[in-house]
Amino acid sequence: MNKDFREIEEKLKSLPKPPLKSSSKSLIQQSLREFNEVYEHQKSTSNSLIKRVGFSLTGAIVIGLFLILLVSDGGENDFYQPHSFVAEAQLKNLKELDKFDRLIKFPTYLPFEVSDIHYEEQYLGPMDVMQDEVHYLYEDDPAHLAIRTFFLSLDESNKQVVEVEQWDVSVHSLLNKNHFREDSLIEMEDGKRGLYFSNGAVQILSWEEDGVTFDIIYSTDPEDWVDGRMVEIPLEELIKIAESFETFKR
Amino acid sequence: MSREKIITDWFTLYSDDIYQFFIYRTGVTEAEDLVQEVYIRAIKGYNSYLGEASPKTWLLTIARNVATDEYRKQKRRKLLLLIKSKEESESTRTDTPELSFVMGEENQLLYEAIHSLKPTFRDVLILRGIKELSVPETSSILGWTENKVRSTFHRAKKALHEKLGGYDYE
Repeated sequence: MNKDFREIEEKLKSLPKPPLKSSSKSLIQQSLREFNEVYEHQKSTSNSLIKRVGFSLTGAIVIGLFLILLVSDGGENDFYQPHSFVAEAQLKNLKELDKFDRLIKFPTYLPFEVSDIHYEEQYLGPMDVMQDEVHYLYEDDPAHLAIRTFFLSLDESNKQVVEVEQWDVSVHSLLNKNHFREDSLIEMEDGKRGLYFSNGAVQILSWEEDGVTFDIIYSTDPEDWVDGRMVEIPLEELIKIAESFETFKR
Repeated sequence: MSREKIITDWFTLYSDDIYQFFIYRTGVTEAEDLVQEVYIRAIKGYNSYLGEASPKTWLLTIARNVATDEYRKQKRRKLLLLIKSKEESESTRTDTPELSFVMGEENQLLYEAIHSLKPTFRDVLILRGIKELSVPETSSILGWTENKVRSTFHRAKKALHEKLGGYDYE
């Protein structure tokens, strides 16, 4: 086996390492220069929808007021009010949700008609390697599992997906996200801070609420993309989806 | 030195390394676009670069994040394909001719085997095996402990050996 591994290592080392074509380099460098100019301009004018929320005294007061409102609203939240959830009948069939004792929320609004949903869980936490197998050390602890629900549109002319991810905030918070940047924080209508990210392939709006990190991830069928990028929905639509979230009980 | 000048220098110095990472990690077709994405993220995140890692390590860390996003994008694409008719859902590889050109016929089988492994195995095979980075460098890029780098590299080689199925892959 060691001999085989050595052979594999030699083969890996000898694999081609082609350089990026010089014509492609020139094009990319040109694009980067243009991007840098636009980026500098955007930073200086800062007149887009995405507003900076610094850790200023004002920000702290706003967050403090929000927390006070949450606490004072606690009594009302004890009563579960039924809402009309998107794909409610299918959500009600998700027995997997029963093991979670944390807050679970789902949207009551999506900008398209949902044809189907798909459910997954994702483990995030300590792992170990034993006998060449990866073992999830806290696999049975729901706190280490993300609830991932995909809402699919079957509309032939515009196939869309909204994925809703729900993480225990102690396991995965906004600060843990690869794309976290303070200047990507937005203020949502009820005072929550949201983190917005888009890269031409997905749009993600994330926020934390009552110990849960929520992500809304919007994407479309790559066949409908224009010039290699998807047609984005307005940020306001994502915020509208986020604000439609209601507590869900099966 | 201005940010633009620094990023331009880093592009000159390391764009080939980033390109090679993507060729093996995601595929030839996407590699050039993803190199650009790495440098765009570098421009955006330049203020967060503290100089603790070398610029090359930092850029490869970004590249790995970009590759992860690309993987998620592809997963979503597959999910979308699920909702299409069965005939349409047959996946097709579009980079085969370009792949032959870049890799040469003799390396294609090995390339395909690497590509069929799970992302973490691909990461460590590319960084340790192909790019020959050190264990500490790989550890820094992947955010793993050095022990994990060693053990995962070992398991990745074993998985690759099994994929190659005991027959001559030359």
